[in-house]
Amino acid sequence: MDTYTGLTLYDSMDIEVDENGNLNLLGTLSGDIMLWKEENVRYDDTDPFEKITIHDGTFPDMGESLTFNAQGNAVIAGEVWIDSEPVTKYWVYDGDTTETVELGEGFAIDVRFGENGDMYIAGFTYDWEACYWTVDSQDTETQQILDTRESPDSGANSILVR
Amino acid sequence: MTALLTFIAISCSTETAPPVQPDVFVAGQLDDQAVVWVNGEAVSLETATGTAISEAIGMYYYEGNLFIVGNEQNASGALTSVYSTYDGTDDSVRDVLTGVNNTITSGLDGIEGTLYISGMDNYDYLADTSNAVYWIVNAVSNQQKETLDQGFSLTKDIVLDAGKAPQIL
Repeated sequence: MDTYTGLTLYDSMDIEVDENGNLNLLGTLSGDIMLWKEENVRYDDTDPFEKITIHDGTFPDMGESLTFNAQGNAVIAGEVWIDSEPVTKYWVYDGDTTETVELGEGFAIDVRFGENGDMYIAGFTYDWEACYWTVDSQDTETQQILDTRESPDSGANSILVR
Repeated sequence: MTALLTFIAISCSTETAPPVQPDVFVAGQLDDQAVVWVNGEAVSLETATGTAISEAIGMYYYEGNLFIVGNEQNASGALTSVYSTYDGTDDSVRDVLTGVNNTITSGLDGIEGTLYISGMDNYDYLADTSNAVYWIVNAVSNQQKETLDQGFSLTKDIVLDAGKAPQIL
């Protein structure tokens, strides 16, 4: 994996194994959302990872969570800052191109797919309301607010569907 | 009459059953208490006496049980890693992950009822140091801790490549 120095932020956010056995690491580098991918990772590999830029952004844009859809494409949820407000987005990377979809104001924390093929993203709004978004197979998006008290002491960290 | 019954039978057989809505579990915190929202309804998780801050950070489902890992901080600031088992009907059962001094969880994965939990122990807030560790908890709640590195080390998440060793970030 590449090493960077002197940058404002370099963070690792999520780790997943894809259907081909590749190890995938999601990270953020000064607002750029990055995916590192490698098969058969070994400790003594000097430069083992393929590096993919998912989003060319600016701090504090952040990729928060990584999963894979039924087609094996990487799906990344996170947020970008537009006009000083966070906007939840997800990115679908098919190995060649990246599709970007905007869900609305808020922060994404965890993304997973249900067995029904729908995608679920847990997070919270800019007003500190815990919530989750659902995106069905027709790309219809819905948002459910879990807590309306707008408390910074509340939030959604993880989602599981079955 | 026979034709009518046949028509009714065909009509019934071609009706599409409404899609079954899955259960949606969201883990997090609600006013500093660990919570799981089950289809939008908040279920509190048992916490230790004196807990000041508690959060649930990850979930794993196996054979009717939902396993949730999280962190607690007592009134004196000590951090404790915990996991809860929730079967959907009774109160959750809380267990402590043992480690050196302050412990923190960061991620969870599982295989066949065995939990693999990434985290840190020996966390020193003033020195900003900690040890990267992970815990393995088997189906009868026996646990072991593996230390990956010491000093300025932490983990973010853990994932299992089926049948292989855990990968830790």
